[in-house]
Amino acid sequence: MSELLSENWWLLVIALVLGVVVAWWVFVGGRRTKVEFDSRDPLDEGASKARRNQALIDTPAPVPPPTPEGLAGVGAAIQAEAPAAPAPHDDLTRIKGVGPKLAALLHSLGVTGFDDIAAWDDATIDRIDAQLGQFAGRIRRDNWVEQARLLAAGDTSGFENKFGKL
Amino acid sequence: MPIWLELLALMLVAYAIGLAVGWAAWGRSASGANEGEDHK
Repeated sequence: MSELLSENWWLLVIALVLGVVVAWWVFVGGRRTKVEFDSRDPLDEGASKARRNQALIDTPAPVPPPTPEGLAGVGAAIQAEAPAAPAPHDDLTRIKGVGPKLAALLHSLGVTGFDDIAAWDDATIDRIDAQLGQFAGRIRRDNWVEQARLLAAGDTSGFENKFGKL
Repeated sequence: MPIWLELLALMLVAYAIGLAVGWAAWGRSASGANEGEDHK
């Protein structure tokens, strides 16, 4: 073996150098080509539009022009006539058995607060239940009305006693 | 084992060692850099 090595060491050196060159080509040479192709970042394409939109968002709301003397109070009257902002929604997922999906479904059915659910009678429960699809039967099974009544009243301890921790 | 086969095996070993040296020199640092990019 040692004779073989001493007589043909140059062949082994060539093989070794060839291995190093191949490794360099794989890890460095190939990567360079790839970087050239990836030099354009597709996210940059919409950057100017995004900046313009952000500038529009950041611009403060225009100040209304001063009201002429004769029209004083008209703005306030119009504002008073405008419909009030919608009442804030309750977090329906606080009801045990209602997850985000079911809460969204209830919102789409116009049910947004604990008061709404607390006021349901049997007929309403049947009507809503029929629209819950795969969640049908949950209203009575999880006793939503009782839960909503306690949550609407703010009776957290009563709720936790009966239905578990919030 | 014929001598040519022995020589071929030795050359393959030398080639593999060359690849390992190249990976240690360039491949390892490149993969480490990619990992860093993922955490950005």
